[in-house]
Amino acid sequence: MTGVAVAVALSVLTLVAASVGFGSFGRRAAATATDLMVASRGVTSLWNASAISSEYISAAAFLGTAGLVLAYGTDTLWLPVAATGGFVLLVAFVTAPLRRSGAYTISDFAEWRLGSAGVRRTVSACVCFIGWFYLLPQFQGAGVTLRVLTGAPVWAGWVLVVAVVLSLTLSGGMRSITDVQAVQFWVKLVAVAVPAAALLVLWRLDGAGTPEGPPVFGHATTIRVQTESAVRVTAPTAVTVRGTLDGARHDGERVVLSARDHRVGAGAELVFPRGAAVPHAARLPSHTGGVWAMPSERGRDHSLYITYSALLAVLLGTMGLPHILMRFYTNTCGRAARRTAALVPALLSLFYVFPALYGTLGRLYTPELLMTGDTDATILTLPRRLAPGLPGSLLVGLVAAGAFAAFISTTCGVVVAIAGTISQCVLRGGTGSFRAGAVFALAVPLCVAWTAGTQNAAGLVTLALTVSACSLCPMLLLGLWWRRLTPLGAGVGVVFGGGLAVVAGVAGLFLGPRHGWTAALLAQPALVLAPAAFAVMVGVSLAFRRSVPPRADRALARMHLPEEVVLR
Amino acid sequence: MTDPRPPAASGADRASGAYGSGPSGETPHAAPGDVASGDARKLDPLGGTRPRRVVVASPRTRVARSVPPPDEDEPYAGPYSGTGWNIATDLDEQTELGAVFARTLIRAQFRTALGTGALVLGVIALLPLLAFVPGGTHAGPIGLPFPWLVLAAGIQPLWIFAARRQARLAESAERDFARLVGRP
Repeated sequence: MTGVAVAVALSVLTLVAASVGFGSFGRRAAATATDLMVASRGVTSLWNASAISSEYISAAAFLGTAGLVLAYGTDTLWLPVAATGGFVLLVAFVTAPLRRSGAYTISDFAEWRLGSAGVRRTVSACVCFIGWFYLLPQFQGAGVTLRVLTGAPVWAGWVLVVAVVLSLTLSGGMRSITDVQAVQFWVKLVAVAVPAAALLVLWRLDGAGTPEGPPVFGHATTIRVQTESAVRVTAPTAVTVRGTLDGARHDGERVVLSARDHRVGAGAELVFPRGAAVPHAARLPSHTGGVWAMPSERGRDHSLYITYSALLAVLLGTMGLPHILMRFYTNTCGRAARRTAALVPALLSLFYVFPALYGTLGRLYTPELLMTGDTDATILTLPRRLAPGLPGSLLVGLVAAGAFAAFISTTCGVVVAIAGTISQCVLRGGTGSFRAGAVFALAVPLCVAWTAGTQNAAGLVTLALTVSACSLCPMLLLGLWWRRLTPLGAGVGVVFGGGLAVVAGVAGLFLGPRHGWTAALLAQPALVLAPAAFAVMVGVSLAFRRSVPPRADRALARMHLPEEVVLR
Repeated sequence: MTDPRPPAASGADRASGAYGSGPSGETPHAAPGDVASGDARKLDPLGGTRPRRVVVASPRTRVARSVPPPDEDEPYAGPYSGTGWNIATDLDEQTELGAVFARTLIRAQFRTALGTGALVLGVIALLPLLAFVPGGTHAGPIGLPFPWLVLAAGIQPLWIFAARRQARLAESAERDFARLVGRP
């Protein structure tokens, strides 16, 4: 265990040092706020595409997807498919015209296109909410990673990420961050791919079963329960218990768990024999194998609605992510931006194979995570389980470095996006206000991070994507392609869609679980809210068509004509 | 695209839209002779099959003749600096004709993008049907279930292809447009 911790610490430190090295390398020119953000626009398509992919591959992709696959089954692979599809839509509808508009942030775009400072403020508020929802899972993932690896309290991971990100954003600005992001994409890819290849080989050599059977313990396993929790047992199982079980104290006695829900006290130790079926945490579905392998969310209320709604949220939400859109400003022209975006699906597809593989192998080798509920830790636990000793420790160290690269790069990107928006909109620009904005951007999610305790990282990211899909995505699409969008229509639509999505997200975070249609609508409102936001924008714009900005035609021509024929 | 008008014609003149619908507006790189016969065809009141030849003896002919060939490789030096007028001037000056051209490009690009969008939405909408694949729960060739393989590695090549195709189509539309307006 200490060996692992050392390996982890070393690899993370190396990574951080490399990042900071890159940061200071690019710092030479970062003198003014414009320099900080513009990144001098000299980045190639592949390099920028790596940076964009890196920013998109967050804690959710890295840890959450594997955890979802372990717990919920093959159907959760829909989310990476939809995320990659979202980038195809981005190529088709957004990148080139947005780049040609010359707007740096999406708030700049709204103000330039619609000529209204009010719309700008509305959009800026929306950007902040999306960023904060996006930062929550990063903090949570960092906390879980550090806790699983070293036993440190959860907040230690948050503090580590905040410290590194602050030092990076405050010193280097965006030029260095583009380099850091691009390097970190390849770090992350190696960090998941090498252990995955090793695990695949070990799995085939091992001759263990296939993942679609019901999860069982491969050997006698001792589980130490950290916090009091409810677990569901599907078949009578004889276990040795030390600690509190169902309110009674046991001291190393043999107890037969009947097939129902049991409460396990904090600090209890349960020893399961080889071949026993794995109990599930009560909040996770206990799929038998066949259902796990089939992609359908059976056993949940209104599962088809929830599935389609989540898919739509990821698909459309990807188009409106402020920190991703800002990256295209680094390209020199609309055509380069489009080429960059067209490379991203390839890079993402390459990456997403591996979390899926981890989640699947996790059913065979780390099934106890289903009982403790720490499914986000699958990628971190798996190498040590499959290859005990030094090789496992080294692989874990590699994975941990990749995970921290994910937290740091995504957090950096989001913080730069929020800080840029705040400093230009509220504080009126300047290097000092950019830095103040960065501090503010990190402080808010840090204050609410404790409420997100039991949520899965991927679920939290879907929240951010839902807000984006219901507010910025409609504004962006209509602004880029529809001449008759009015400031009033855009503002009302963003407030309506974004506001309701934020309310649903906050309700999901702070209220307990619910049932029926209320639960389904609160959990995944995108299928209702996104079309409604489009309808509101179009409807209000048509109702007040006199206020179509006079520059609309000129703006549309500027966005869609290639640079060489651009208006002079 | 050539237009046999004197270069001194003002932007307000062209804004009327009458020029945009004339035959010369639809004949790219028309030679002077073509222009003459085209005008003759339009002027023929009976619409006869044999167009009557007319002699155009005005400064227009001279201007049309002096327009350089479209593929000539010389840097652009401003709308009025050369010998001819081109559509880019209209785009610069935001005339109705320029707006019509810009709108044509935007519509074409939007159609391409809609095609890609329809493909993406269609594939996403079909994904839940994987649940009805017979024998889907059994392990495939490398010990992983068939739906797993489709979702983890089967759809992605389609996305990569769609993104590349979209980028290629949009770029070629832009290139054609740039060539059309004489600023390649």
